[in-house]
Amino acid sequence: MNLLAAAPGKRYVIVRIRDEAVRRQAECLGMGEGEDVYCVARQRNGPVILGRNGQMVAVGAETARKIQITLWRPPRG
Amino acid sequence: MAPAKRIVLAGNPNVGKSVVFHFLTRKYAEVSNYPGTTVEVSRGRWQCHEVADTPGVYGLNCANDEERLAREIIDKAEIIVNVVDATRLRRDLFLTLQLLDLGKPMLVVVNMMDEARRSGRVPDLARLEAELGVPVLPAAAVRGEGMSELARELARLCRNPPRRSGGASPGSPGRRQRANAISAAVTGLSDGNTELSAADRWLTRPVTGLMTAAAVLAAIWWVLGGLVAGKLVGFTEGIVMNRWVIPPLTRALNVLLPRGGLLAHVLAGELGVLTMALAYGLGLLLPLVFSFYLLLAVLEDSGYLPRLAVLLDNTFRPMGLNGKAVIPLILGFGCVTMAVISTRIMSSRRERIILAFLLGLAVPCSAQTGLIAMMLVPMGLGWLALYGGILLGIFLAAGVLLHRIMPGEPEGLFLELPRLRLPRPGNVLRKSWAKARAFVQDALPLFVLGAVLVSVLDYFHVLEQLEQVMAPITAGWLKLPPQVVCAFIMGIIRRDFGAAGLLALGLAGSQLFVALVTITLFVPCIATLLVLVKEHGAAIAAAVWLVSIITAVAVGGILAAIL
Repeated sequence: MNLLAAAPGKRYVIVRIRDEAVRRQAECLGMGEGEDVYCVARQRNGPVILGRNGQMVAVGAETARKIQITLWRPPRG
Repeated sequence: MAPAKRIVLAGNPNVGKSVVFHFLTRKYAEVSNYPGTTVEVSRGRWQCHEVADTPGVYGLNCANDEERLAREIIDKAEIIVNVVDATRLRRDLFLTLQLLDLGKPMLVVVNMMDEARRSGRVPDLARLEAELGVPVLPAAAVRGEGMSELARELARLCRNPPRRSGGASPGSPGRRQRANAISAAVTGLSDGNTELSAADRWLTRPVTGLMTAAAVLAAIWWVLGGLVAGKLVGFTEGIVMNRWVIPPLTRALNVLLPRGGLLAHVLAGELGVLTMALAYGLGLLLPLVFSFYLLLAVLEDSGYLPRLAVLLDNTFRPMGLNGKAVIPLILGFGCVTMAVISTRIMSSRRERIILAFLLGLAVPCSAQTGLIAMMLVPMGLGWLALYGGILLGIFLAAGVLLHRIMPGEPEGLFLELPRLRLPRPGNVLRKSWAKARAFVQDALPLFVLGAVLVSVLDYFHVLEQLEQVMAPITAGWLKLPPQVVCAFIMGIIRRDFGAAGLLALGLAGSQLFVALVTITLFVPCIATLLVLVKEHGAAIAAAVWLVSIITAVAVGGILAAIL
């Protein structure tokens, strides 16, 4: 699924970012590929606000479509 | 004494670098609460050393203009002061690790410790120092906390800089994981959620957000058009300048200079230096500009602007822009020239050009807004709404058109939201004061120059000839008195100066309205033009200039025919 389908309050893992500039910036911000983030808020057609440890990033609809996510699952054991 | 060193302040956006810079150099660098306040490098001196304040960056490998600029300055520096936010260590340590790898003497200032204490999450700085291997100092720079310790440590570092060896390249993998691991160890926090505060929810949801935006706008216009333009300017212009200052000066000049001569005309004439520079420049515009900057500073420092960017992101999309564009646009209502420079926060050249066009065409600056509010507010709400509607319509139409004709793809929004904060009165005042002073320094000489030019033209009857030549446009097409030519000539020098010229004509009703819309859309001022040339080249600047004239005259004429 892409980020536009994220539900507020849920935790996701960022699988892939199909935009070079956004991927680099997201990595610097600590929200890059492989990281897990919370969907803090979402308007129907974007932007989506991602959060982690009090930090917030707003992602516009166009960019959100280029970000693949999957629901986060707690590690077993 | 230690030999002079080059010190650089580096860090993520919005961590307080400019506050530390101000402490060290006593020079005021603009401080706000949105990422991208500093777009240029400020330089100052601390003891015998040179200190540079850089634009905030998230990393050194990402290819945008700020990062290139910051990288250039950091490469030349001998000592790095890395400022980080105590509540955002996970984010900030990525850059810290990159900076460490450059192998230069460095110290880390963990700023905003006060906010960390308030949230009950104070990072373990001894542990952080052990992990990083460079001095780590706690600070709350806006309160001055930790600043004398910083000065002491920096002096020690300048005296005998330790040898450090350079490490991995900026693109090396694993740095993000290491930053995460250090942050988790130091803060004891690895996967916390972010709760949206009630205020944030209110500001970013469409209905409540737009209501707030409308209320903010209405409040600004009311304060500016009603309170400042009505009451304060009545005193500064009407009483101080026109009663106390100018009449004695005029009397003295009339005694000293031959009556009817060129010099008397230039200095004390109706369009002369005294009227234009003193009455309009200082009596009228300075209070308007200062008040506007006060209001703007409150918005900048509260962190409201990035919320507005979220709210309006989808609105900007048909124009090929994203929500971030709202920041330069709002700043444009302060000063279009500064706003053109601040378009650098947009990530692509395409967006910067679209924005520069829109700023040059349809955004009135504070001095002009103040004057227009002063003339429009008494005309009633209907005219005010019509004025806003026309400008908004042209703004949207121009944006959509530019998006269609310019090659390239729009960039989506990806913007970090700073915390909402109560603006600090000290910073609001200092910032507004710095900008008002810049206004006096930059605008007043141009006012004098403009007054001299117009008075000379008037004295040699060139103005009359111009009025006749332009009459088919001014009187025929725009249905205005031919004397408006003078206001438009003044408008080429500065827009607000043009609006002041209209004030002198004493127009009313639909004529005043047509004139106000035309002068708003008319060419950007000389300073903006120069910045446009510098940022985007002569061709773009010329295009903005010509399109502004054509749009202004066309729209003015159509309005004149309808109203």
